[in-house]
Amino acid sequence: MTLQPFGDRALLINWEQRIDPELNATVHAWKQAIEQAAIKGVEYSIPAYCSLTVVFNPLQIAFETLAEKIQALKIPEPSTRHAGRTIEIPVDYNGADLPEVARRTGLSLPEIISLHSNRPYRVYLIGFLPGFPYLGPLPEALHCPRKQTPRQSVPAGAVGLAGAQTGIYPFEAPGGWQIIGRTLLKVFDAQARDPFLLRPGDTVIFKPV
Amino acid sequence: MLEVEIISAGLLDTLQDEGRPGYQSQGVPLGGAMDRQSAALANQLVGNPLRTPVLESTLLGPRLCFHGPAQLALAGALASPMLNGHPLPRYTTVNVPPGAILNIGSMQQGCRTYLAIRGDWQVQKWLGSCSPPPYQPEVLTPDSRLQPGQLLKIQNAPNIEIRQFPLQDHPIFPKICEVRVFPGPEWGAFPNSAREHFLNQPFTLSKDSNRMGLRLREQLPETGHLPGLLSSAVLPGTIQVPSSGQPIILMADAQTTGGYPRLAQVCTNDLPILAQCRPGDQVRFRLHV
Repeated sequence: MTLQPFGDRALLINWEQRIDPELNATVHAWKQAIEQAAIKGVEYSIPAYCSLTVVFNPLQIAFETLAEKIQALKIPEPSTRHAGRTIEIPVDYNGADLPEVARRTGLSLPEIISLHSNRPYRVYLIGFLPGFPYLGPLPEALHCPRKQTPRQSVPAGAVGLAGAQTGIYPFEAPGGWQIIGRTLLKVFDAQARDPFLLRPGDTVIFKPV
Repeated sequence: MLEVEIISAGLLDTLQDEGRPGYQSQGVPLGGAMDRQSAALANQLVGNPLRTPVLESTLLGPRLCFHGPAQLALAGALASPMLNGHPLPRYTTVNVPPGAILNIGSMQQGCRTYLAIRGDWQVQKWLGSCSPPPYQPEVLTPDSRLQPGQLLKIQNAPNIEIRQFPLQDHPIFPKICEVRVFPGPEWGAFPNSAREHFLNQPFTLSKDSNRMGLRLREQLPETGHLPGLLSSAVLPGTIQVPSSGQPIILMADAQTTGGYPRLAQVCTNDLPILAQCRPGDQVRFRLHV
């Protein structure tokens, strides 16, 4: 675990850079501990797979003071988090980037579909867009890089790949993921009392339609 | 209740405040005014709390009619605003008679003007802010993207004494600017050639720039094969580099996490300079020490 400045108003905590459920639970344990400590000057934090970014007001707290306060906190042993819900998501595998994914992975379209669907993925974080779930682990054979230039517009419900990650676009937005399919299920419903369908720790299973 | 009518809209007129700090772990962009310094100044000049909405106009402003007496102030990009056909002074409290027509006009220097009106704005908020999010804004913040015919409702407050910001302190937004940056989390992952190019060459703002991010036209060398990054937080002011090598400076409406390497982080106090850059303007980066 390393702490470093991220500009003049954020502190970045990095762990070993890998996708791992235990490690991800540790990130959330630290986020919770920092919130509970209610350190004056801390504004908000953004957890990810294996990093936590703490945004602070430099007029209220200095980076060094914040780093000391965080390092002095006690974090409970990361017990495996309670099993989240399991949510099935129907997908029409007709994405615009299927040919590129096939070329980059050397897989046929049916192979891509069978590798991507019918297996449990953990929701590691919600980020990039409101309600956008980062799901994994993705079978290694499906790993492929992001688009060289991000698209100006990706449709709502698009299911995409990027490196070891898969995810769902909650609404039309720009983005750089390789799009392999689309779901009609809403992962983000702005007007709902709880706008977010998925929570970190949930399990998602894609079902081809 | 003061009513202000939008007679004609400019290119992009939105209501902005300080955004939605605290919802970023759910992927909600921070939002709020692009040039927070000008927005705060405008509100100060009319005695409003800093969280009060302001009208942010981009490149070409709207025409408004004040249906009652009001106090206003204009800050930000250099425009030639007219009140009832007469030039309107900027960076000062202005008393407006009922029926007055304000034409903000086009911006000659800088990109965004901020109009503050004294009082308590009656606007719909989502997660504590009126700032239109970059998705479903018509549903979440229906009042915040101004349309012709729309009425802004503002609960009047007693007038304050005229306040003025001295002319010599008005910010100037030149076509070539310099901003200070800190090394980003992945600074060390970039080759020397890319870092030197970044700090020594000017970059031109692409026309694809918007409130989410400013895209730069020039390409950094040797950035095609940088190691992949597991998605991690990004902030307004983060400069990320996709594999095309053309840097993107994330701004107020940016996403909360990203997977492109983060080359640098713009000094918070210099973000307003970038918010005022227009497509075609040039920016140089200097390492802050």
